[in-house]
Amino acid sequence: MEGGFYQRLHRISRKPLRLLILSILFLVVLPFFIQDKVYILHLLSMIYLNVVIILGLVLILGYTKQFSLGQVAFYGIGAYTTAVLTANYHISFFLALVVSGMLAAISAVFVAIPATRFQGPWLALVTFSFGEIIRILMIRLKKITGGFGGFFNIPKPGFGDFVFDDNFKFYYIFLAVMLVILGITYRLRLSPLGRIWISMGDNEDLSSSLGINIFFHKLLAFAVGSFFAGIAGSLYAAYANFISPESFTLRHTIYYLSILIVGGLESISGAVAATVIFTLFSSYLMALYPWDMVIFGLIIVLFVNLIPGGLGERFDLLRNRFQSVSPK
Amino acid sequence: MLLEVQNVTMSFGGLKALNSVSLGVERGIIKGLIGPNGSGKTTLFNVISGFYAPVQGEVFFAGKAIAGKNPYRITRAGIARTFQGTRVFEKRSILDNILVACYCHRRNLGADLFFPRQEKQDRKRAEEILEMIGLLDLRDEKVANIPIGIRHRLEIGRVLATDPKLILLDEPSAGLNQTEVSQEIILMRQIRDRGITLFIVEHNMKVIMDVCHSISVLDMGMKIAEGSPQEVRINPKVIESYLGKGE
Repeated sequence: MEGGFYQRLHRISRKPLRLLILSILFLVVLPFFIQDKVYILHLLSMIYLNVVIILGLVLILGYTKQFSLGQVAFYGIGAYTTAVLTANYHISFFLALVVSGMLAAISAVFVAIPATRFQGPWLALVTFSFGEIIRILMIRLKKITGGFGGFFNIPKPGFGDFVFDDNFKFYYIFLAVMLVILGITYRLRLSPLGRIWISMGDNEDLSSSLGINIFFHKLLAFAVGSFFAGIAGSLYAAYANFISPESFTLRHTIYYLSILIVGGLESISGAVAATVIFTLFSSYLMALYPWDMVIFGLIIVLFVNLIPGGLGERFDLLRNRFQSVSPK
Repeated sequence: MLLEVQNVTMSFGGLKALNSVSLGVERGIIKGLIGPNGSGKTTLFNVISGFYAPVQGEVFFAGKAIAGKNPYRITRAGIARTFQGTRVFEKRSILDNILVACYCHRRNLGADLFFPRQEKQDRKRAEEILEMIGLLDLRDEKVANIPIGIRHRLEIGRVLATDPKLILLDEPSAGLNQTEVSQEIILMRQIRDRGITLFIVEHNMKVIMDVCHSISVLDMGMKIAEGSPQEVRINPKVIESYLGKGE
């Protein structure tokens, strides 16, 4: 091995796979060094959670350009499904996780079937309305959901004698789920399915004339993205131990939308980067209530007008510059 | 008769864009569709390819009725089309543009998430098509950066990738210079020699007279003439419709 530390680091970073494995190892090992810093573990867990949600939005809003403003509904459906299944029926969390995702996906299909006949602003309106309907149902169906006061005492996940009862242990559930979802999303992007979805969002008529069944694929993308949201909701319910309709409002929709736009709608790496930034600053921003909403709105307007490609586009430009500089 | 248009009427609001138009395209020929601007040529293409459903009439392709069907079904049945002014996926590479078209006949897309074998076949097919239209070297170029002559060839490559029996070409020589037009004529003949039928909307008379075996003429949404290039050229109704519009 020639050269010093920086030369070696430079060579490692040129091989994406090695970098990836190192990053994952780092994230796996990290908690052992900060076991007492519970808040940092919490923050990281929230980053992983938000990444799952945002990746679902990347598929729906980024690839197929279906401007659904109601995704928080599926996040909520996932959360309450897990709450009910684990607290009332004592079903294992890991099973409830999958069921919640499935239920969210199925609800998404039911919404999408009538909704996809609408374009642009109308689709946004219809999906947003659905989000609100779900939130109202959360309040009204008191017997199931605990109403406005919320759902308490959601049990922690576990198998056998082992229970995930602290931030340290739960961190690994978040990390594992995020890595799986991230892997699926990357694989999708490079697969024919992903290419078809991006093409649909790019030019729907053209895609239709190329033999792509637009309706089917819109539903499929919607279902998969909402599955991610449902899974996220499920994780959140078990982690937070308590959920209420106040966790699933328009504010959250706007929050996630800002992250998506800053990341660049279609970019996975941009979405992850934006999620990290926003999550880290969210506690400061939320404290500025109600001005935090104004700030998010401003960010959306700024990015859409000045940097429409978001961080993702910046990453692409950087990547191109490196590729043209480094020898082949 | 590969394609049969029977008494197709298409109206938008009160305006009749097509008025009981009937024509046929025999298998294996290159057929032309001409007429002054606004005569309904692109509208007819839109009806045939499923983007519009006719108010009246029927379209038969290889014996099956297709009027009003979804565009993707019609493409899968074997009719491909290009768009006036070339439509492509701007932000993607040339290869990606062709590759998406190759997915036309795939049935089991989910499997590809984890079994990339079919993907390799599609990629190979896309590259073969690129080679046929002479764009293999440019495969990774982003479409937004390429000139119009190459765009046209890309569109033709794209329709070929859907494995069609009939191709509708909407003004294939628009915006091309003399050399490019000649190259395109050669390409069209090559495609026809592979057994694919072509139906072309054109304003460039040189192309029409050179390449078409038979021609239909539209004016104001009605068919006013039909026949070989020689017959159509001397048809008084055709001459009047073009001269009368100041074309």
